[in-house]
Amino acid sequence: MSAQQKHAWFNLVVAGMAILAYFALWPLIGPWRAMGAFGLLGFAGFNAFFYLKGKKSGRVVSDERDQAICAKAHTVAWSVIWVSIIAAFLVALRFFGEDGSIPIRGLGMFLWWSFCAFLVVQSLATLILYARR
Amino acid sequence: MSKSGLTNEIRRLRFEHGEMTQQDLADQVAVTRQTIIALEAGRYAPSLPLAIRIARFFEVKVEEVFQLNGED
Repeated sequence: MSAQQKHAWFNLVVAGMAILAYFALWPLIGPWRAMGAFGLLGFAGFNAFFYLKGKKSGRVVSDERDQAICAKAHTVAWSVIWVSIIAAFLVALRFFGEDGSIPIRGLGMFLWWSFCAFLVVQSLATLILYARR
Repeated sequence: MSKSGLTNEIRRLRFEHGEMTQQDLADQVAVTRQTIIALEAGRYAPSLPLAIRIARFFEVKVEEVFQLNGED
């Protein structure tokens, strides 16, 4: 398994844990304060360790094929995020009307879910592309 | 054969070069072993620089390593 695949699995687990924690906290502290569960997404930063081990051995950790897969997965993930942003605007317009305003915590909620969705889609796309290529 | 119609002789050339491992070849041409596996399985079409590096390593022409099917 390549470093990128480990990276993708790790991100998937981190995003899954954050989503599970959010829904576990929701009944206890409510949907807004449960957003604290998304702090778990910070663990995604530890995926740099997957590249350090390979670098220490002096072997190539990432090459042109990995970069091509990574770029494609990024494109897929960004496409999903763009669609979700447009959908969120349309939903907000429907709920709050043309002269309404979006609550700040609603914006926070949207950003957290978008980040989570990005991680999940990018990781899944990466794993699928590795399996196919 | 890959979607691009590209086939290659990497596996044969590897064995003719002292039965070198995929990892050895990967180290020589600066890619990961997974990329060599994908190349040999025809699941990946390499970039031109990588194709040239592989051909140079085996001391053959690029066309002797990679063939485009459907071309005369």
